[in-house]
This record gives sequence, C-alpha cells and structure tokens, in this order.
Amino acid sequence: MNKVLDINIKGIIFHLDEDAFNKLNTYLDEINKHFSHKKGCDEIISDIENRLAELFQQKLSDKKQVITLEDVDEVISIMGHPSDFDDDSEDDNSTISSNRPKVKKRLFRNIDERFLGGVCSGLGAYLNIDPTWVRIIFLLALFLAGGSVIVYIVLWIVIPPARTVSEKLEMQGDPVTISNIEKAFKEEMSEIKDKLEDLTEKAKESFKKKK
Amino acid sequence: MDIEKTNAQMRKGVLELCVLSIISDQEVYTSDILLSLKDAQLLVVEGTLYPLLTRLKNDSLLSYRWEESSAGPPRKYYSLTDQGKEALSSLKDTWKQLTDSVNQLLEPKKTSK
Repeated sequence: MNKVLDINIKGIIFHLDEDAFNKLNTYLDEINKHFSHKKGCDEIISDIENRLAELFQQKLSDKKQVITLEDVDEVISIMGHPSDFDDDSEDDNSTISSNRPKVKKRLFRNIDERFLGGVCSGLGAYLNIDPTWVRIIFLLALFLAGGSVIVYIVLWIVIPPARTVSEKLEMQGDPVTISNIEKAFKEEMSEIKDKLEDLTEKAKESFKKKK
Repeated sequence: MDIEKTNAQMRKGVLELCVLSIISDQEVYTSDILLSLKDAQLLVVEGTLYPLLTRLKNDSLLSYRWEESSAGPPRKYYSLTDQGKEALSSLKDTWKQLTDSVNQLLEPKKTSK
C-alpha cells in the first residue's frame, strides 16, 4: 500500500500516491528551472500548472480519487519535457549569449594597429584598456628608468603577432565562431576596399595634375 | 544534416501563424487551441504552446480574459488585438507566397510536348 500525499496546484487539492508525488515534484522543478530566467516566466509556469490541474482532473472520477504514477507519466508525456519545448523566442538568444563561456584571451601583438611592433596595442587589447595609455606608460618608464626599451624589445620578440583571423579574435577575447570569423573577414575586406578606393582616388588626382 | 531538427524548425516556423489564425475566428480557450493544433498534427508536446502564447501576448498581438470554470481552474480566453490582426494578415500573405513558390519548385517538371 502506497502512502498518499496532497499537492495543491492552482488552488485545487490533488491526492497523489508517493511515487506519483515525487515524479510530479521533479517535473515541476524541471519546468521552474527551465523558465526561471525567461521573460514572463511566472505567467508561463502558471499557465502550465493550470493545464496540469485540468489534465489531472480529467483523470479523476467518483471511483478514482488518487492520482497514480501512470497518470503523472501520461500527463507529462502530453505536456512534454522542458527540453522538448525549446521555444524560439528572442529571449533565448540573449540567455545563450549571456551564458556563453568566456573565451580565454591570449596575448598577441596587434600588428594592425601598431606604432612600432604592436606590443602596446596588443597589451591594451589584452588588458581591455586604450593602447595609448600603455604607450604613455612605456614612454614615462623610458624617461624614468630607461629599462622600458629593453622590456619592449623582449616583449616584441616573445609575444607572437596576431596574424590569422582566429588569433585576432582571441586577442580581442571574442569567441572563435564561424559567424565571428565571417564578421572579421568582412570588416577586413571593407577596409581593403576603402584603401583601394582611396588609392584610385589619389591616382586619379595625380593623373589629372599631370595633365 | 539533422533532418529531424529541420522538420521541427519548419513546423515551429508556422506555429505562430496557426495560433493567430485559430484565435482569429473567435475567442478561444487555451485547450481549444491545443486541440486544433494537435488535430492538425502541428504540436507534439503541449508545453511548447505556453511560452509562445506569453510571447505573443507580450508583443501585444493577443489579449485574454479570465473566466471561472465550474469544473477546474479558471480559464484564459484569448482574442486577437488589432495589432494581432495585422500580423496575421501579413503572415498569411507570406505563407501564400511561400507555399506557391515552394510547390512550384517541388512539382515534378512537366515535359513540354
């Protein structure tokens, strides 16, 4: 003989045998966890609970007063597990991006924005500060001690330059994904295009002058 | 390629249109929406619908009112807002265009005689 426990769903009391009670409790926890970080979660959960109450009521009759494990299983199969819901709302994307694991930043020389060897620029990207400040610190150190030249040269030798797109992304701390690589690639292409247009403009101008 | 996933995504894509269309006929109660969708084999598990309804409501395409029920918890009756009607007609247009084009593509090429 199974123990019978009571559960209150949306103000309606249901009697469940122990197995059924445990199963339902785990299921409700699952649902709560799944929606807890979503917009309008209270409302969704309350809607689902309403429907669960309704489904359980259909299971009961004058002769049957207690909800069994089979009933719970059946109701759960109708409602589905949170992993099956997988709704496509925009909130999803935001939770994915905020949950996304931080990519490990790596120290590179930023040879795209270099003054000398890109050391300061790379350090700036790594420490998330404006490279100009790093340069100022290096220059100040030069006047104060003079050792910063050696430090700079050593760093120049030791730190690898960020040559490939994925190295550049790692330098900025962006995750290396296809779409990010594509983005970086497009940015680079448009830069090249700008430069080319610049060059052709200049060429045209000098051509006109010669004429 | 994950065919199952693509199938599910296709179904999911038209779910909003179907829900709006079901609600457009008359004020309906959540379980009626579920029934219609299940009859049309568009919904596998009921849990999918609730986040969708809440989102449509938050986007003010839907509104609802509560009604007490003699047997069971109070029921939510949904209806379309004016914005919802606009959204529905726009989605319907897209659907018609889409089915036409896709059907045209899928039809076996007729050999001209």
